[in-house]
Amino acid sequence: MMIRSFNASSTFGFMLLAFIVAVGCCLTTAHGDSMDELKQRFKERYPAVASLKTDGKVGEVHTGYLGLVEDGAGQNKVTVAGKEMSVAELIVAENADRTKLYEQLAKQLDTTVEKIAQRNAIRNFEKAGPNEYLKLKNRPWTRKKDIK
Amino acid sequence: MRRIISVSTMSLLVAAMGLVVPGCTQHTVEVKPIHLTVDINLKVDRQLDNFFDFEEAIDPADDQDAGDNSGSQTGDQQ
Repeated sequence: MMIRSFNASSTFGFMLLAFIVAVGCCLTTAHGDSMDELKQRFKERYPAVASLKTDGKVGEVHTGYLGLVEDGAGQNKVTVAGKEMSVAELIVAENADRTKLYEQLAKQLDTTVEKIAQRNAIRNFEKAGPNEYLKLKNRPWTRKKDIK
Repeated sequence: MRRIISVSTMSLLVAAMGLVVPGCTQHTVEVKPIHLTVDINLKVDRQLDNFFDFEEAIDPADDQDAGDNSGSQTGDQQ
């Protein structure tokens, strides 16, 4: 009888523990990276991104994401936080983090991801220098100073 | 005759009031969504500015290592 009740309570305890672990895993996955972690990665990439923009190799797209202006520039190497990577890899990493940021802000402000992305596109267009390339909807890459 | 004219004038006035009052109500309803849109845009802009506040502090020339330039301009990539 004692053994039986011990087994029952230990099974319950094990199931409870498994449930807590499962919920913890779900919460971690759903939440993804924290805002601080995201910000840190943006911060590390920023000098390389800004420099590539100035050189006209990458530019801002109207969708709120970074794009490759020069086809051949994708294989060029850049250094981010002491680590070497290609420009293409940098763009992929930047855009993946932008998606995460947009998702988190959309949830926080009770709006859509598209809305946040659109506002960030406007923000980046406004901040762009005259020689930086921008991609407006249904238009080719154009330097900001040449946009009418 | 005079009475008929005054009655019809009054009824015309009442009908005109009936048209004017709902028109005013509709006007206030239309303003509300615009106000809300501006409000959410401001909130989003503020959050984005706060998040990217480091951009003002970092000078891109400090840590640049963009490779050589080659290739031509192309279309979309994101």
